[in-house]
Amino acid sequence: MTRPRRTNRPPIGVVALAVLATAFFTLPFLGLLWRAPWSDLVDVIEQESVRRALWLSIQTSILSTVVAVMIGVPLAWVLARVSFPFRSIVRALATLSMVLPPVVGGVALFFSFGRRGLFGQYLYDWFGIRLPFTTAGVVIAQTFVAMPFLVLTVESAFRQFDMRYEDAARSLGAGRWYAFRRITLPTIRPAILAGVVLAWARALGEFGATITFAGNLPGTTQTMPLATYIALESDPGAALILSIVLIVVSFGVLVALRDRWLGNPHEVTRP
Amino acid sequence: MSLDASIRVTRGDFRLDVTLRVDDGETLAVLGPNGAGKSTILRCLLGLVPLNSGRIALADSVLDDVDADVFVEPDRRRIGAVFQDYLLFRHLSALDNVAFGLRARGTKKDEARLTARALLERFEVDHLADRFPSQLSGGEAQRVALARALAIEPRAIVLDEPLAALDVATRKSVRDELGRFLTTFSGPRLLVTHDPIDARRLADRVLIVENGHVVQEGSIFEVARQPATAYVEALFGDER
Repeated sequence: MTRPRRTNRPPIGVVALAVLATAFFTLPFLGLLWRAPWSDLVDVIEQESVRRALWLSIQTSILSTVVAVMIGVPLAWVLARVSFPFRSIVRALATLSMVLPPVVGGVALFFSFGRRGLFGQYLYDWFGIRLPFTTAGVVIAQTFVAMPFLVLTVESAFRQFDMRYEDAARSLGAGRWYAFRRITLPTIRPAILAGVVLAWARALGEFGATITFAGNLPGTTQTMPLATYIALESDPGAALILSIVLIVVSFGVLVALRDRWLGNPHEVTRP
Repeated sequence: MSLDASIRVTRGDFRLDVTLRVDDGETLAVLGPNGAGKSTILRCLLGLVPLNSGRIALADSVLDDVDADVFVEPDRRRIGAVFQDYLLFRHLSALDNVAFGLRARGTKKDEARLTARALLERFEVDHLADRFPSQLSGGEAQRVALARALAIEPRAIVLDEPLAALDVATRKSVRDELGRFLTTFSGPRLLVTHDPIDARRLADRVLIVENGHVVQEGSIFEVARQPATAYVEALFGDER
């Protein structure tokens, strides 16, 4: 009796749906590329305002990612490892800005850290610090909406990390901090990098909270997404080119980071 | 020199109350069913679980004494541990796994690696120095784990189910190898296992723990001859 050979061919229905999903992600970009006025490309990119917006976007998105890592990783650790009352509420707060419309986040920031805001008035009266309509305000708005992506990713990695490895390190003479730095952090490195990429991408694309809290001042707070939106009203062709620049930058970084960092080179299968 | 411990720990409903002593050059096997508290004993000795009351002393240094308010942190105890599944650090090569303890104590990188390589040579796995744990077989991983534990020049050695992760085919040879190694270590040796064969082959004495309490202690011969409980009877019944 002969049996049909078993194959590893994936089920056709799943593949069809996956193709549909890929098309859904790809088609909008094709539309964009099709309508872009390619002959104006150099002119638009050489505009001073475009360069300033792009440069500002790159600076602020990197800065807010750095801030998100510096305070988000400790928060993720506490959420994963320390049990304290109202932990679930703190966790919900830490991820709230991810589900809120960014404009709401911007309004909230404005009434807290604005010049007349709950805390902002003291910042201004006591220290002369003014956040709205400044580049620092852009960074705050971006950090506010981007950090949850990092916190969520890193917290889940801390939870999945097998604590016995830290115990082993301790028994070998490592203090708590040394064990954390040398064992825990390197083990969850792929998750941290994934969180960094997600947070950075979110910060780069941030629009609603930025325009609400920091305004749209060319050179100080006008980032690429804002410049794109404004251009759409006056010069749609320029808006298309700005969009393409943003797409190229984001896509390039995502592809480069995925290949270089997100895979774990040490997870080699046994020969 | 010897390891003396009276361990009392309460965790929820579970109470662990065990007194044990291991002399220099002696291997004590702690045997018991799952959930009897064997691993907790080991974690107490390593300082990963503080005692609720009692005292742990290694030679003339006190590691944990609740009455005297003494507690030595795990990284200062110098007890070499081989854990279940070996727990080799996955992002470090075999060489750097062995060097880890020395690095943690402030030894320079080159010097630590030199010592680590000598230890790998001693266990005849120096050709695996650059491999990562995922590329090692169970027997090879055990040798690296032993080398890593020895790198800190431990005053005692504890092993938690060192053979449980191995398949039947390699288990016997790795066990024999472990037995040969244990006899070369001159300090107290403590082995936690649920397997009577491990105890019989590797230990000089057994301590049987059930439900947080010692039910019997002595040489395998004595324990097998007069089993105190049904569990001990089932473990060593075929000895008679």
